[in-house]
Amino acid sequence: MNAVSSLPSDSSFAMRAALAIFGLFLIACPREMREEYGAAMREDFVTSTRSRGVLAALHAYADVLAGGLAERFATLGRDLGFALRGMRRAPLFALVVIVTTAVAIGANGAVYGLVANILLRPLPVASPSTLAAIWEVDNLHGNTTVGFSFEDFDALRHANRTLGVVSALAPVSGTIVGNGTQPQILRGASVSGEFFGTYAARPQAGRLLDARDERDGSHAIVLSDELWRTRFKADPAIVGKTVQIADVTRTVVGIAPPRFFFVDLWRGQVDHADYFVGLRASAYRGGGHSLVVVARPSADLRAVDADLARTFAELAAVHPVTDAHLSARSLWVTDAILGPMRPSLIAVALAVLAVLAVACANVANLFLSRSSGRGAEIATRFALGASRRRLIAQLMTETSLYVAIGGVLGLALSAVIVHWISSTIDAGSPVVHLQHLDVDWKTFAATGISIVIAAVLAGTAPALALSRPDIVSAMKSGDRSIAGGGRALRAVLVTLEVALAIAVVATAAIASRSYYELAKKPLGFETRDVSVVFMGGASSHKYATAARVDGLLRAICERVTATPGVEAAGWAMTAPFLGQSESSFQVEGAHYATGSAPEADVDVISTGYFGALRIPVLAGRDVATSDGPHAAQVVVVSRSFAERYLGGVEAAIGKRITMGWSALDVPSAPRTVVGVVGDIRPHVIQAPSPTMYAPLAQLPTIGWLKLAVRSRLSTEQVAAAARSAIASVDATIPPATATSLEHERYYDALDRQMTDIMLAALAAVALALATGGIYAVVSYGVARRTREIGVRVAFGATPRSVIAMVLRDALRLAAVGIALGLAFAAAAAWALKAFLDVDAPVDGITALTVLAIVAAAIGFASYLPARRAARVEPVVALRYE
Amino acid sequence: MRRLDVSENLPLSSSGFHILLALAHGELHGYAIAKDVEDATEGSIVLGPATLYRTIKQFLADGWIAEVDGDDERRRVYKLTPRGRRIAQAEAQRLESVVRMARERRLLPALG
Repeated sequence: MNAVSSLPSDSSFAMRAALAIFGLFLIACPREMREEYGAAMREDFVTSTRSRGVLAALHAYADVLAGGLAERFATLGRDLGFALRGMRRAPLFALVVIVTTAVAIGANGAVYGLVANILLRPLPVASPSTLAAIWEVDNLHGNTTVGFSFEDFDALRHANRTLGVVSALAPVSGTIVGNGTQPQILRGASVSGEFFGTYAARPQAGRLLDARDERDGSHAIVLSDELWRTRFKADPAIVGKTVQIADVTRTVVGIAPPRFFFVDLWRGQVDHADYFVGLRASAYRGGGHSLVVVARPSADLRAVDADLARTFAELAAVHPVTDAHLSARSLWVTDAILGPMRPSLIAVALAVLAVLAVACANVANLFLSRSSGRGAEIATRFALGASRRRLIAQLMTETSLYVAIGGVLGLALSAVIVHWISSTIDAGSPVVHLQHLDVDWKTFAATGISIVIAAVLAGTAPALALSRPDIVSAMKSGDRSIAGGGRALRAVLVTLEVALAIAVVATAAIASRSYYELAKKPLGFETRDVSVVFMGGASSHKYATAARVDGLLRAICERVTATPGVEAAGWAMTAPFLGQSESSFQVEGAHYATGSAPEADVDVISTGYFGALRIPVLAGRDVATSDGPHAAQVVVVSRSFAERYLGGVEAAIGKRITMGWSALDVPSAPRTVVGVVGDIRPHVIQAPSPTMYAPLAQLPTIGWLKLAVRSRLSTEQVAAAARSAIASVDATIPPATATSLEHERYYDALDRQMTDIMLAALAAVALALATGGIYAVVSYGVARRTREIGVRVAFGATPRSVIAMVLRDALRLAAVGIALGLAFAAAAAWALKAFLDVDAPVDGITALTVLAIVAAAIGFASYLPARRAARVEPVVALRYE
Repeated sequence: MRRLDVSENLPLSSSGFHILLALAHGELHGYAIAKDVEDATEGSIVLGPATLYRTIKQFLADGWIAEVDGDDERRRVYKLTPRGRRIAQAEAQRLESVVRMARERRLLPALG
């Protein structure tokens, strides 16, 4: 081989290519090094490659890559060392910056994590974003949204053009017996043939339900994964076996996939069921509007609504009597479920952003204040030839180090906060997707992004201010303020801090004020010593008449009341905190325009219920045992009902009402008002609503009932007494569970309280940060003016007048922020009222409280430097000159 | 100017010492330094471009070498400063004492 011919010449293609590659490797070197030595290194590369060939080129590549990176790290290391020395020199400053960052990022990460968990975590169903809920709208009854009747659903699924797959579901419940274990009440779903297809579910054994199961006489049942694992111990041969549920023997045809959820619009959430059976047309035909309908539309919702209007116009033409007053509308499921929570979470998220902005302003402010004290050092370095680029890089490294330490601490803090919140909410939360809150990767990502934003915002401002080209001349003129525009920037930052802090404090104040205004009003009943026993699962075959229901319930209630320690007990269909039902009604003799029949809350109760809750009887009488199934039908109404519809408490007695409801074998007939009771609020933060109470014996139901028991006994003891009472009357009824009204009251307003607590915590953080910011600026101002203050003192200014002067300046600085903050607060109050339905009393008390808190913070922040200013010794101050 | 305490800079890296040694001959440009080092060490030390110029940059900053004024941006020429010369001397003396110790302990044959 000829050695010479293998060596490329300068202009050969091989040499140019090798040099181009060398240029790429040069990128590994820091720009400074490239600019200084790049040309020389290229020249050397060409020389060595020409004389010694490919191996020399490869060696040069490796060397430039390794050496370049080493140089970069060496630069970073020097900058970090510089930053660490700075930290040691000013530990208090470092501490304030790090704590500020940690608290802001901790609060931000935690609250953002919570918001992300609720708003951003996808609902646990297949492709939730393409799932639409379809409601029927009853135009006769105040345009209320209702579920579908079977006929309307059936018409819709055949006639629609835009809905894609349409499916219906009705929640059911049933008692499972047999298998040698205790009877157990199960929650089931009666579903149309399309149901599992809508959720793209696949069976883990056997098959799922389809169109052939949607008929009378179908005994197919699909078990949930959980039921199969618990009650049937994951029996691998379960398919084909029979089970006894709700008095019907059914054949297991398959097992649903694990963690199978579906949309239950009645409960406004994603839910699960223990078992699934086919929707029987006969059970839902003419049986009211109880079907939950969802679809996978192929078009946007405007087209869907037009399609629905067309379908319902056709329906109305066919069934003018039953369907003329009906229409339908669509809503994305994610909006239907998350919509109600969105405003309060957005309010919290905005407060978080405000706090983050305050924190960034604060960090930037602290760095600006300090940079002015480092003028000499920076100017010297600049004069010695350090490039602007190097100075900025160095300062950014320094800022990033502070913010990174604060960020890591903040991350730990946010983990602690989220853990605390999730353990507070715990499994007692009835909302499925609020359970198992965790610091997930999204929280970390969000927190990481906050860290970067904070670092860039806080780091750039001082770095740019410091690196102004006129820095040297500024130094020469003896002006200690390096950052020419720094003072104006600081004033803007403080204004922003104060304004945002006021906005957050005001929001928190308004929200918690409105909560406590509502919460402190009497509920209208007493929660202490009241346990509520839930009874369900009684056979509806066995208790098919009013007389049988009445006999059963009366016997149980009598036995529980006879238990030593029990003061009073009574049945109710719904109870405070535990549900609400509405019914239309007509007062005899009153005339209603079409479509304006009034609605009111309705409960079905037995004797003893008012006594157990201590709801006072204001006129007339309580329901009595004599109000039996065949006696004259009666009703008791609440005070607000009597006042609004019956001409007052006394005038109400003897008037007659026809309710929209009827049940079992009791015909719907006008009911005579025999009593008026006090108003109650069904939820902690809900105003009382007019209510009708019908006697259970005259409006019987056996589905789910609650026995309210006033007793000194514990809830567990009451539950045990109720269980033995129920078992002694009918052993086939499953064991009852119980809760206490105190417990329910706690959970009733928990989400609202959580919002308030988060807002209050954020307000405290914002206020603390703003206070720190004002302190930094005022104390910097005092330091700058030491000489001037010395002169003033020398000319006879008293300490008091010096303090007043400093406070006056601080107030002037804060005034714009306060004005802006009050404007923000007014906007926040408006938004709370408009979007959150927070009836906010934005009165003098709230406004003055907020102002007093903020004024106290500003005063505290300025007083410390003011006192220092008052102690300035004129001689010492002037000696600096 | 504070008194130069050379001992705190020792020992030098072998590539650094060889660069100083190369410049002890006289003024050289970058590639000539690398070539000289390679020749002198019979190829056992080959200075790549980044290694060479990082060291040059550091020595310039420390004032051990200086750039000789010239026109060619790509062919910068460097020379040893008196300070650099003292550093190189100190390193050579340190190595000499190491070698002497090795001879005393019979790791190397005694001289002459």
